[in-house]
Amino acid sequence: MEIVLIIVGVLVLICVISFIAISNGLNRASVKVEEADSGIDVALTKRYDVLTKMMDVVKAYAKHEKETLFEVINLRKGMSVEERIQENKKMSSNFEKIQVVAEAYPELKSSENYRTLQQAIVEVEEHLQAARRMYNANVSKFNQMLVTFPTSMIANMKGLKKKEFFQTEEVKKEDVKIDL
Amino acid sequence: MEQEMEQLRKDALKKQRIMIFIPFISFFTVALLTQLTPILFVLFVPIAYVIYKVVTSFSKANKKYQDLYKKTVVIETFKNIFQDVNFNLDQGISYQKISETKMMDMGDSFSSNDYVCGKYKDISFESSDVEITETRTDSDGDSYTVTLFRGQWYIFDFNKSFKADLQVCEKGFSNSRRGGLFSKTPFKKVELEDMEFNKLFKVYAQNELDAFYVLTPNTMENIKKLLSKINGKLLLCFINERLHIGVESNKDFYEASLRKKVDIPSSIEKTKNEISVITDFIDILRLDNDLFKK
Repeated sequence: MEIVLIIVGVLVLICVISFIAISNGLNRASVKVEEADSGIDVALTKRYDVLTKMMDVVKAYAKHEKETLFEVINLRKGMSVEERIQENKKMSSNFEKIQVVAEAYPELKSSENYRTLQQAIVEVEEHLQAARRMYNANVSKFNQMLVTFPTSMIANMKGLKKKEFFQTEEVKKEDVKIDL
Repeated sequence: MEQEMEQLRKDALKKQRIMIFIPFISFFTVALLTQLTPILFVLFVPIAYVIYKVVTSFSKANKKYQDLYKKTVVIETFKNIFQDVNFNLDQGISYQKISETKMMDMGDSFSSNDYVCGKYKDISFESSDVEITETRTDSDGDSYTVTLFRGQWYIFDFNKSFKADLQVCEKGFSNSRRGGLFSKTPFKKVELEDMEFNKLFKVYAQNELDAFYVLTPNTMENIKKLLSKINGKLLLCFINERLHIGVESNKDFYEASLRKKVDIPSSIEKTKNEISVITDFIDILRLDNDLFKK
């Protein structure tokens, strides 16, 4: 009888330890996704700042151009992934407009200020891609945990749901290519 | 020049043969004589002295030959491919530079020679042969020497600015410093999205985001390409805006074989082949792309 009790006790202990370990693993994975998520926020803000400066420079050169009608970007705290993807698309669209205007104004394109900002945007784009890849890698890992037994069981108990990937246009998946 | 080199090679080869032959015969003879008359054991003392002289004589002859070979073949080949070449046969990349990468244990004996620095496509590089060993003691109290790293170490200018250090170590490298459940290193293991890359390399970074920033999908593809061109385990460390690359080839580069007759054209080809590692690193990893450099 005592042996049976010991075996049951050991099994219960193993179950409790496993539950705690898996639960902690899920918490860690979730925290990593949140950290990566904030990395995207930082990168988007940097992109926004550099683009704003570029838009100001372009507007000063081409006051009457139609292309200078830039889309309004609204970055704020607590945005969903989908909202951020939309704002990021607007930024890409504005960047394309900036390039079109720069093509029409050679003196703008060759100005020191514009070239410095273009160099900065290359770096910012690269940081954004790194943040996006890191976020997606962590989301992928987290989502895999949610569908793998026995983690899936504990994830269900905790009410955890799959997280959304930060998708971008196909072209953005390559390394940044910008003509300087 | 070729004749002079050949003469030096023959001289070194002769001394090498003597170096192998004399100790063998001497010890065998003295051991036999000692069996007959134990007092003849004292003969070991002059024999040890003779062996010392023979070994020293071979080392000098070999160094003379190797130095002339490197000056005639290696340095000239380097100068034809690279700019601002500087060669130092007796020195190498410093202990401190390699140690600060924290890629591996540095053992208790460090040697480095055949230092070369220069520029290729305007990218500065330096390289040298490196050997790191450690003396250990087994359970019987006998000491033995373990080679922790033997190969080439390269340092290149890197074309991206990053804050935290990053290490990429090919799996199977036995002297990897990372790992361990209770490791207190500031480096954290990073899993990238490229499964094949994760299978081939272990990546450690002080900051996960920097790992993703430096190791873009293209860079990972290029590192995999490099791997297929290199004989030996590959280590990469991104530190202080420079890229350190270690190749554990288990041999020294730019050495002349004593057994092969001097043939300058084929030696130049062999050197070009060894040098191509440096140009490959710069070309394949596209280190000359200054798009990201401020």
